[in-house]
Amino acid sequence: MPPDTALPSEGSGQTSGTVYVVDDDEAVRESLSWLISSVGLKVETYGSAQEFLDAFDAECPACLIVDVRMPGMNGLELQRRLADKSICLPVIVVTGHGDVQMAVHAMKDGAFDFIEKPYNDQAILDQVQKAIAECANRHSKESSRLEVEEMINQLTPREREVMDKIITGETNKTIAQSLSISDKTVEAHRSKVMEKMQSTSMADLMRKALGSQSFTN
Amino acid sequence: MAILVAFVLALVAPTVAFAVGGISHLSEPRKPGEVRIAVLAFRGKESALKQWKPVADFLETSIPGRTFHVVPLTLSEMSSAVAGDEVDFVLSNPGNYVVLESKFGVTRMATLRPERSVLIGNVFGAVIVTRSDREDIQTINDLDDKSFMAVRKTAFGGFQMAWLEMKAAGIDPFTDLKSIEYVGFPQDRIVLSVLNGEVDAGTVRSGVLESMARDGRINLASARVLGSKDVEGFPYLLSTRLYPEWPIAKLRHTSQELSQKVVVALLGMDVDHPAAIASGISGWTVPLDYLPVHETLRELNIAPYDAPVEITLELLIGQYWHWLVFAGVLVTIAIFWGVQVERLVARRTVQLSEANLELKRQIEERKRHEGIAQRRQNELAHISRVNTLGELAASLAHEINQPLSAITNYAQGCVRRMKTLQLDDASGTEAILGAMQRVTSEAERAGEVIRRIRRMVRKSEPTLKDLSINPLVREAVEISYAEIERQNAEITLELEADLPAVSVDRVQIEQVLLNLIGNGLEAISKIDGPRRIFIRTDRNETDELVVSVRDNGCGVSQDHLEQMFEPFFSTKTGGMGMGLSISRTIIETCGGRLWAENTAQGGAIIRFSLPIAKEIEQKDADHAA
Repeated sequence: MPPDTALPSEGSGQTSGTVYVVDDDEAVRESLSWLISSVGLKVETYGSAQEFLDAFDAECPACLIVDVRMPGMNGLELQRRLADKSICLPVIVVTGHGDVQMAVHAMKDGAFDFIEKPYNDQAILDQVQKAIAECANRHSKESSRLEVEEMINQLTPREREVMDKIITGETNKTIAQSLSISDKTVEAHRSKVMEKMQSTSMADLMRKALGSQSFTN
Repeated sequence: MAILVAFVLALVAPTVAFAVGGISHLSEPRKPGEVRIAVLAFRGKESALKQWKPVADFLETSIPGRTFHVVPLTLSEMSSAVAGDEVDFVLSNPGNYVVLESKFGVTRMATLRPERSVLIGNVFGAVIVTRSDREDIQTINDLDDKSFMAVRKTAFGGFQMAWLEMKAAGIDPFTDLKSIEYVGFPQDRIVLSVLNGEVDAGTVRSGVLESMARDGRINLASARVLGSKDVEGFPYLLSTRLYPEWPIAKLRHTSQELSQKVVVALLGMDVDHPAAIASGISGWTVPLDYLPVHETLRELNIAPYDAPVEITLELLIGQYWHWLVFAGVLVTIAIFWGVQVERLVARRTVQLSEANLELKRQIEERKRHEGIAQRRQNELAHISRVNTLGELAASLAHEINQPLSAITNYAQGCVRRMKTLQLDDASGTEAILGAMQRVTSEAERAGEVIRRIRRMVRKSEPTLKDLSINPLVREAVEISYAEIERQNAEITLELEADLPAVSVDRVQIEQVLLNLIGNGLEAISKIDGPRRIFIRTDRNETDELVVSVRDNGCGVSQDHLEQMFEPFFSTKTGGMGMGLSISRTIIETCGGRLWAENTAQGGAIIRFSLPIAKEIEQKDADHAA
């Protein structure tokens, strides 16, 4: 059985997720819903961007298919609004023929992809699958980043100082000198850091610390 | 027609003037006791009044309680006065008396006795006299081709008596004589003229010659009387028979009593009475027999015996020659005038038919030009439509892509479902059938867009139909929809329900609407904030249908308000500048108007009006929407 023809709830696991379709054209909206639901994805349709924003409740994994041209708030505008709210929903922008300019704008603004009408069904389904995977990926990255942030927050100021210097590759000796503390004290801080950061190796500590937002600031 | 009227008027007018002249004093009503005596004024009215006033006074004294007035009249006045009973008595010459007797039934009461010096008895006649030395004139017959003198044609003693004698001798005085000269009174002049040789012969009353000789003014021997008659007891030379003197007559209405009194008074007038002397008469006698007068007048075919006379052309010409000349002149003028008019009419007719031909030629030329102009107009409109469609290409592609996308989605969704569909899955089959129906309706939707485009591109003669305006507005908006979205504009329709139909070409009006919407979109493309277009349909007070397209752009500069309807005027880059110009022509061809204004809010509004179709047909209504 080819993986893309799986019906709802069974299949390979990658088919779970919600697809939001926002298009002012009822026929396009409903037909997309019909198509996408054929691969077992949950579909929610909205006639306008505002309608979608009002009803949106962040779920994961999910993705958004939006027509770039709509009366009132158009696709690009909606994408910006989501970004402003720090909602990391992958957005697939559908454009008409000759709307390349708008597609470029969409990509610059962080759209996941754009699809030109008229589109091939397989192409849009592939993009939807990828977007949902991306959403899940983004979601897991985000949650591990939040865990590391939490760990870092549990460090004392001195332990944080020591970790910053460990990451830059300083030895216990040089750390002790620069902080005017004994080597033993440095060693105690270091094991406390490793413990609180749930790291067993230097490499793991470095990956966690460098991936965190507070560190990059 | 005008000629005839003029002719008749010319003949009648002088006659009328004759009839009414000079007797106005008779029209006054008579006072009580007033008696009027009409007197023939053969020597003029004053002289007549002077001569007969004493007689009237004499009667007034003789008959108490009555006043007598003398009314001097000419011959013609006499007739009308008697006919109108405006007088009570008539004193006139025998000839006139006979006429009045015949026509109006006047009755003679007494006959005048003339002046004692002139006559013996109360009869008289006339002499035809020539010089005694005229050897060539011995008898009345010799008067042929001679000149003649008389008092006047209507004078009984002064001409008519002699006329009868001439006629008896075979001489017609009006054709055979060389000439007749009428000299009027006194008759002495005639005698003197004859004896002096100024005229060949003449006629005077009997007794005149003797009277003149007695006064020593002539020598009787130097005169010869023609056709001399010898009547026993009559003392004068005589050429004619004898006739009774002037009678006084009463009218029919005059009372017997008054007449009797007058007769008694007159017969009682003595020869020596001052009134008789003053009037130059010697009194009155019983009325004489006027039969000879009748005979003479009958013989001469003159009034009252003129009626049964055989009217010969000559007689007519002789009597009415002046009228005939007058008529002739009139007829000549009329003919000349008629010919002139005919010629003018002919000339005008030629000019008119030439002008007519020229006019026809011009009309045809004009029609031909109009035909050419109409064809060019249609071609231009077509080009403009194609151009508009070109501008709308992106929109139209979108219009077609939408249903195509939907079709693909539905179809693929079906394919995927059918691959795993269980035979007994009734709800699944139901869902697939529903999707297939959506495919059909979306295909139709795409087809409709194509048809719309084809209609706009088709090059056809405009065909007028009674259509509702609102569906046309909706369709135009639909065609422009993608463009409206692209501009991120909002379009608001304010369409009045139950509007009557207009007789228009569907494609042309849609073209106008597309142009106006395109124009509005252009106007708002540069503004920040909401971009809005309002389309409104309603009726105006002159019962026309009005469509207005309003935008909230920056308006149009005053210069451009009219200029924008000129061909090749455009503010757009890439615009042909024909849209509004063609739109105006289309609307004006339909009998409406198209104009632009700025709104108070700063935008522009373009309106067009269309006359309402005579027969309202709603069957096309909402067909397209």
